Amino acid sequence: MPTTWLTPQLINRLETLQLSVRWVRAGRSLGGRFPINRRGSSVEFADYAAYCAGDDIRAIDWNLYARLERLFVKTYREEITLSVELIVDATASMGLPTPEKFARAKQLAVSLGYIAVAGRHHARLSWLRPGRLAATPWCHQRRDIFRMAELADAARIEGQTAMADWMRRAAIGLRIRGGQAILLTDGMAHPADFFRALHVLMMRNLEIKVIQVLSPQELHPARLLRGGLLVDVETGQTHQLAYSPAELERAVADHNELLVRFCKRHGIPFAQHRLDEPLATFITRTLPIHGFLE
Amino acid sequence: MTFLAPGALIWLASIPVLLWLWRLASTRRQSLIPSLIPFEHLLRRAPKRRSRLVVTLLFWLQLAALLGLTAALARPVLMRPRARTVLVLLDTSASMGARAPGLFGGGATAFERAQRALLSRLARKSPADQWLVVTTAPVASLTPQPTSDAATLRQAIERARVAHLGGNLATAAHIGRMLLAAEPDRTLVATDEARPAEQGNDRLQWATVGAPAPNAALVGLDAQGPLCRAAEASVVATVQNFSDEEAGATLTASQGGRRLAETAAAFAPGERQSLALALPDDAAGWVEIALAAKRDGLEADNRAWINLFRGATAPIALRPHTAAFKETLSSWLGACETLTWTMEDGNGPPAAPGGEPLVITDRWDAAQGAAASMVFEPPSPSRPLLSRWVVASGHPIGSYLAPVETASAALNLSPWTGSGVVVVAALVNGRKVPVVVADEREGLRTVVMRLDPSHDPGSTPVLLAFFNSLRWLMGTSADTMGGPLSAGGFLPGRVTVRRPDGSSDQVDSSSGTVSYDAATAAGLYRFLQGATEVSVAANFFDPVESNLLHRASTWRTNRDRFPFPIGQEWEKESGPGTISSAGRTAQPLSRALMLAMLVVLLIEWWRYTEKRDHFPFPTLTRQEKRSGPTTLAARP
Repeated sequence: MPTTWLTPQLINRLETLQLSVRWVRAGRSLGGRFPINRRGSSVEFADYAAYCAGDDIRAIDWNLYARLERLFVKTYREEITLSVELIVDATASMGLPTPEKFARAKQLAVSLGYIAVAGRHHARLSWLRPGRLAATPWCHQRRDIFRMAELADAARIEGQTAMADWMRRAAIGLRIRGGQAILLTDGMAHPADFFRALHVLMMRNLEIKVIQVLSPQELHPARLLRGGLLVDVETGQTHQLAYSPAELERAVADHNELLVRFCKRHGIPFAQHRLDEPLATFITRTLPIHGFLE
Repeated sequence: MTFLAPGALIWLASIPVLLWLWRLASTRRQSLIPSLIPFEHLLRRAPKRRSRLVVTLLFWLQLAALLGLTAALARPVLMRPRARTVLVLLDTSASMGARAPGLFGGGATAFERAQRALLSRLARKSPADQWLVVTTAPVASLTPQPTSDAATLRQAIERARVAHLGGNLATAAHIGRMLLAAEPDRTLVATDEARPAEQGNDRLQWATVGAPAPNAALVGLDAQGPLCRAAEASVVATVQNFSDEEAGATLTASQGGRRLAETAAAFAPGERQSLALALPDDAAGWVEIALAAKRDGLEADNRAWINLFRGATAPIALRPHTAAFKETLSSWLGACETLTWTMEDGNGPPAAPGGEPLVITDRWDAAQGAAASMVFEPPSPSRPLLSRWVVASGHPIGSYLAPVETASAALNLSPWTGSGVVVVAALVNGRKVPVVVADEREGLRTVVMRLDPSHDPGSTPVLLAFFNSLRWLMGTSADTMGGPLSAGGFLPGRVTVRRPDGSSDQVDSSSGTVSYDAATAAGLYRFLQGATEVSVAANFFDPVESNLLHRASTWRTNRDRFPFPIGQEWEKESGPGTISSAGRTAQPLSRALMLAMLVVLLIEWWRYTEKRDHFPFPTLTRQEKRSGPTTLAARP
C-alpha cells in the first residue's frame, strides 16, 4: 500500500529537524555519535571506576590495587548510537471516535522515526496491544522508514491491555534498554497503570517522551454525547450518562491534567496533539516547543 | 395578540410527549466511547440527578415546530393599531376648470393646482396611511378602497378630470365617510372654495386653489318665436356677468361652422340679461351658441346647444271642463296664429291625427295618455290674491319673468303634494305656495298651474308663465347637466355614445330608448346604432359654478353621528378591564407561522441527516448490543 501522506514536502521539513537528546546511558555500539564510558574493553581508556559485584574481574587494575589496596576497574570511551523506541498505543480506544486517531498516531510515529534515522539514530516502531509483542525491525537508514511506514499502515488496533504489563513484557521481549522511548497514546488508561508503564521505561534507562493523540470531540464530550448508555469500547463496561455537561468536561480535563502533571514531575516531555491540527504543523512547531525536537 | 381558535392550544399537551420520546430514546441509546476511565471518579459516586435529559439542537427545533404548529392551529391574530385613514376630497366641479393667467400662475387651471398640491402631499405621506380619494363631481371614489399604495394613488389623482357639473364638498365628505365605514383620522380638501371658519378641527386640512376671478356665463337658453311667429324665429340666451366691473360680451349663434347670428351687449356688475339672436328662416336642428367676453375665467359655461324644430310643433288639444276655462284658453291660444290646436269637449280624449297631443286641461283625468300636458288646478273659491311670485330662474319656464314679481291671480292655496320642480312660487302670508310646477319623467312633461286663468286673463306674469310652459312642453329635453340623457328610436341592442370630449361609451337600448347617465362634459352627445343617429345636447347652466368671484362654500361640519358605529359597538361589547378593539386591525399570523414552521422542519431534517452521518461516537446496533465487548473491540 503506497504511503501517500509521506510527501516530499513533509520529508523536506522533517530533514530540518532532529531529536532532542538530553542524555544517553546506553545504546547500540554501531559507531554512533554519542560517547559514553563503559566497562569492558575498548581502544580508548577513559577512567577508573570502583569495582562492584558483577564486574569482570579481568578489568581490575591490579597495579592500582597494589598501590591503593582498593579494587578499581578500567572504563573505556565508546561511541554509541541512540536507540529510539516508538511505542504506539494500538488498543481499541485509538479507533474511536474516528479511525483517524490511530492513523494520525502512526503517521506521527513514522515521522519521528524518520527524524531519528535522519539524525543517525536507530528507530523501531512497536505496537502496544494485547497478544504477541509486535515491532518493526530497527531502521538504520532513511529508506528503511518507508518499510516502517508500510508496516504501520498495515497495523490494526486490537482490544485492551494493561500498559504497564505490556511495558514489562516488551522490556524483556523486545530488549528495550537505553536510548529514547516515545509513547504515542490517547491516554485512555488508568493513571496508575500509565505511571507504572512509564516507571518501567525509566528503570530501563530510557529517556521518555509522551504524545497524547486526541480528537476534539474527546476533549469536549458534552457537546456530542446524547445521553443514554455509554459503552467502553475496550472493556465493554457500560454506564448511564447522567451527569451535567460541565461535569463531563471537567472529568476529561482532570484526567488529562493528571497525566501532564506526572510527566512534568518526572521531567518527561509531554505534548497533546489534536486531530484538527495539521500533522506538519504539530511536528515542526509544537514538538520543538515541548522539547521533543530541536 | 389573541387567538381565534384557542381550543387548539390543547396541542400544547403534546410537549410532554416529545419530552417522553426524547427520554425514551436517550435511555435506550448506547454509544461507544473510547474509554470510561476519564469518568471513573464520576462513576464511583451516585449521579446528582437520577437521569438528566440531554437535548440537542434537534430537540429545540422539534419543540419549536411543535409550538409553531400549535400556535398556527390556534389562529393567532396580532391586534395592531389601525393605519391612519385619510379622506381626500378632490373638487372636480366645473369651477375647478377656471383658468386665469396671472392669477393662477402659468395658465394652470385650479384643478391642475389642486392635483399638484395633492401629489405633493402624497409624496410626504406616511407609508402606513390609507388614503381614499373622493371627487365631488360626480361623487365617486378614485380607488375601489382605501389604499396606502402611493403609486396607485398618484395614478388615480392624475387620471381625474374636471366635470361640467356642480359639486358639493359636504356630500362628497359624507359619501367618503360611508365608504370608509369610519370617521377618517384626517380629511384633506383640495378645492377652490375658501376654508370654512371651523375652530379646533385639526383633522381638517384645507388646500384652497385658485382665486376669485371675473367670469361671463351662459345661464339659460331658449328658442323663442317659432311658437307664435314663424317668420321671426330667435334664440334667447341668458347671460350673466359674474364680475364686480362692467363687462362686454358677444353672443354668436352658429350651425355647422356657419355663423347664423351675432349680438353684443354690455353688462353691469352682476347683471343678467337675456339676449335674443334672430335666426334665419331656414335655421333648424342643433344650433350652437357661443359667448365671448374679455374677462372670462371659465370656458365650460361659454357654449350651449339648442335644437330648433321649425314647423313641427305638436298638435295641441284643449280639453276644458268649465266654460270660463274654455273661453280664456281659447282666447290665449287664438292669439298665437302659428299654433295648431283643437277643442275637445268630449269626456274621453279622441285620437289625435298627428300622434299623441299636447293636452291643456283643467282636470287630471283628461291629461292621461298625452305626450305632454298642462293641467290647471284652479282654487275652489276663485278669488284674486295679490302676492309676490318668486321665480326659479334656472328653469326655462321662468324666462322673461322677474325673479321676484308682484302678481294678482286667483291661486290654489292648498298644500302641494305632487312631485316636480316648483318654477314659480307665491309668497302668501309668509308661506310659499307653488304656482307653476314642472315635472319631467321618462320623457313625459307635465306643467301644473295652480291658479284660475279666467280670473284675470290679461295678467302678464300669468301669460308669461303660460306661454313659457307651452314652449317648454313643446320643446325638446332640458339638456342640462347632471341628469341622464335620453334618446329614442333605437332597436334593442348596443348603442355607441360619442361624447363631446372625443371618447366613446356603450349603452344598452331597451324598448327603443337609451339613457346615458355619464354625461359629465357639456356638449353634443351622438347616439349611434347602425344608420340611426340621434344627437342630444347637455348644456352647462350653473350660476353657482360660474360665479368664480364669490364662491359659496359647500362644506358642512359633520355633526351627525356616524351611521355605522362599529367602534362604539365593540367598545360596548368589551368587558371591564379588557382592551378595546376599536381603532385596531387584526393581522392574522397563521400563514407566517406555517411558513416558519416549514423552515424549522427543513432545518431539523437537514440537521438530523448531518448529525447521523457525522456523529463521532457510533451507536450500537441491536446485534452489537447482544454481542458484548469482543465485538465492540473488533469493530474499528
